[in-house]
Amino acid sequence: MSEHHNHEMHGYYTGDIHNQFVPEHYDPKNRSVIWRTFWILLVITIAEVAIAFTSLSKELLMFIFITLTVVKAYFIVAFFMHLKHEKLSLAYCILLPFILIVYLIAMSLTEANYLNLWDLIFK
Amino acid sequence: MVLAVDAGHRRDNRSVAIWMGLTIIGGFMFVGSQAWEWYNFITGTPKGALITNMGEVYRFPENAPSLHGGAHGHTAIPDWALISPDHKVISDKAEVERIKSISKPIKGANLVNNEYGHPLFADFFFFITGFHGFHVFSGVVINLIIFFNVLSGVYSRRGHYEHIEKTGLYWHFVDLVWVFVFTFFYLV
Repeated sequence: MSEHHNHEMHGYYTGDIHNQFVPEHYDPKNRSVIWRTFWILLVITIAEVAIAFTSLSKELLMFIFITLTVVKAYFIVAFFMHLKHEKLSLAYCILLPFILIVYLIAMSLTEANYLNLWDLIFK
Repeated sequence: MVLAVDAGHRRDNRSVAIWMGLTIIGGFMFVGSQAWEWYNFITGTPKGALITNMGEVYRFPENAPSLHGGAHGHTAIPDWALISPDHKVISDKAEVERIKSISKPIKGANLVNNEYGHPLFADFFFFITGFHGFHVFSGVVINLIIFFNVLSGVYSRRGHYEHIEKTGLYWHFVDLVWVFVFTFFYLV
């Protein structure tokens, strides 16, 4: 049993009808990468909360928070959702549509400000 | 969660179970904190705040966020004063009386009123954290199903742990959303 187990250590059988054997290339460094990512995320979050209590200007704070958030998002997507190890074309398919989110935010902010603009002009 | 996925790659059923179990505990901790936070946000402070007939929320000094720095410094604010929506101290007695005469008390935060600030913030807060929290809860339920499958050896018999990967992708997507929610609702 254990011999059999060792033999198939570096791959797995897919659940499809062919039950193909897929080599895994398991890298023992994976775990240290996961822990490294975990600590990076933790340190960034603690830094964010610490920065929130300093008396920096609001604009600078916003800039730092948004930058750090994007950095955190990169680490989660790249390592926890292992997009870094996927084909580049797949990564682009997933990441490029996010440009539309910037458009969505710009639109929502304009919309949300509409009443303020109205008040400014007509009151 | 990722460590469970990783253990699945190693075909290590025991480690998968342990890490899945820890993920579930973490998930419950998150949902629990959220419930506690909602409870306090909805209940509000004992004294509440005042809302004028114009819809502006005036807060009592003891409930106002610490007015550190700025022009106020640490000068003592009289306890009968009010804090305006733009964080100014109103200590003129006549003005305080005028505001009181056109105001009604509110307590806590809900979809209509918010004693801590603009009611729109409460609306967005409950809407976004509510949906996120519900997704976390679904994630915990899915994780529990996977966890019991792992314990009963479904995946070791199947020979691969792809289900853990799929669940992991869902879990970490919800995690990814939280990173943005945390920034825009708690920090900014």
